[in-house]
Amino acid sequence: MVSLDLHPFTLIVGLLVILIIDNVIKAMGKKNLEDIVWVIYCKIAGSLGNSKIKAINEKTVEAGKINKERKSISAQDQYAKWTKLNRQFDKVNEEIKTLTNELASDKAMITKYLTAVINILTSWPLWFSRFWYRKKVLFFLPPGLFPYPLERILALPFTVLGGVGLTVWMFAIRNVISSVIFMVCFPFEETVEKPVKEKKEEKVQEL
Amino acid sequence: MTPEEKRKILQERRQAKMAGGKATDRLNNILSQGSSVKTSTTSVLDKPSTPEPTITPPPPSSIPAHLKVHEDDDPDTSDIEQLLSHRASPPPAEADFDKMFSSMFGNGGEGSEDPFSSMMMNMMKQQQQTEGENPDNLQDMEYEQKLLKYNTFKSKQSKFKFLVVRYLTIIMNFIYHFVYNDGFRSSSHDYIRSEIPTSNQFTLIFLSIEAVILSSYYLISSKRKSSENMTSDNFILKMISMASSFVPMIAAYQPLLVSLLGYWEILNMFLGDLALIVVLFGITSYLK
Repeated sequence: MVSLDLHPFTLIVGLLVILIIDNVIKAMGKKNLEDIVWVIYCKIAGSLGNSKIKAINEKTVEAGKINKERKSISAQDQYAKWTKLNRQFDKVNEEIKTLTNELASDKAMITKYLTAVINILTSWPLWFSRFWYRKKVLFFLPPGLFPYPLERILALPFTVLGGVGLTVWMFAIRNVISSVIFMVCFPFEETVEKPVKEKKEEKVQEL
Repeated sequence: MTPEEKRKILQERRQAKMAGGKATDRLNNILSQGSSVKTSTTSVLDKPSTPEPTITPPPPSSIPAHLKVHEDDDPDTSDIEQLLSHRASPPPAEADFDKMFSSMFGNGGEGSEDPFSSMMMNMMKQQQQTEGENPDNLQDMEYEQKLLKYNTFKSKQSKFKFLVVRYLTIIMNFIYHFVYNDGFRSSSHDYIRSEIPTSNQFTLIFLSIEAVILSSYYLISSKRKSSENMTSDNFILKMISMASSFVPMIAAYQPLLVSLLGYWEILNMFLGDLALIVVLFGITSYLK
């Protein structure tokens, strides 16, 4: 039988991993993650023999070939051939569109499973831990390190003085992860130049 | 003879020719010149004057009483001035719109003034005035938006720099004490609480650095906000400024709220640094 009385350090590491995953998902955006998973699914399912995906892959390759051939000839010099290729390209594109629409139900299913996986991996364990281990002391701070008020704050809400509980641990991890994400992301942000206000006198002169 | 005089004389001659009834011949001559096509177009100058289009009178019920005509086409009023004065009512003045809005918002008159409706009217008037006074309103708004974006970026940049400094100093302070002080350990076991208390040099250094960094951040950020006349990007401040247009008394508390928000930011930063220490102690708790 699986014991729910986990070692404090297991909880510390487990919660750290869960919260890292949670924050990474939030930073990435759920929509982007769904798209990535969908692309991976299409690749795997296509190689495993899903007929629809296989057909889409074949049609996409065919469309690429036709497009390449169409671009290689001149529309003015070989108008008949160019028009024929153009029609073929449109036809293949239409077929791809129809197949993609047929795959919409598959995508909805993937999204549903992905949401369930995210919940199982992040939300549910966090809520369970909050309830089950609410009084558990994850670790004790060395004595005399912090003054009494600070130790009291760190022992909130149900932990003994000098100990750190799950609530404070989760708050600390979330805070540090968000700060780290900010430190990593900010240097890549676009620099904003100071705007210069157009002087009204200049405008009058222009007029 | 000047070219202008020449042109005038030629024009007069042409007009004299046309008046003689040869306009159609001349037009056909021009149109069929150099070709075998024979046209039979009639010039408008030779056309007999067409009768004036008759306007069918509308049904009597749709005509206002003062415009009704008798069957013998003899109107009741012969004076056109009188007719005009009756026909169109004067365009509604701005005051009439004000009256209309007043009645819409339930403002019966000066005596029975509803505070809410009068407030709405004041707001609308102020809006009209500001729009009227400032023709470059759109450009100013664009500039304000750009300035807000720039200020937000500068604020984030400042936060980033201070965050890097804070995290570096805390990690260095922690590593130093962790390496050189055996008592500087956290543990999953509660017996460490009964050990002899370690020196709180770590906390002293931590609090001193925090005091220096956070106070300098507060000074710099408040100075920047006041010097740049920074537009508030805080939700609570926006709400307060909106509410102050309804209840002006609230505006008096705005500076106090700005200070409180500044202190709250500093407190958050301190808690963030404390969180880093907690995480460092948590990760190293397995070692003892």
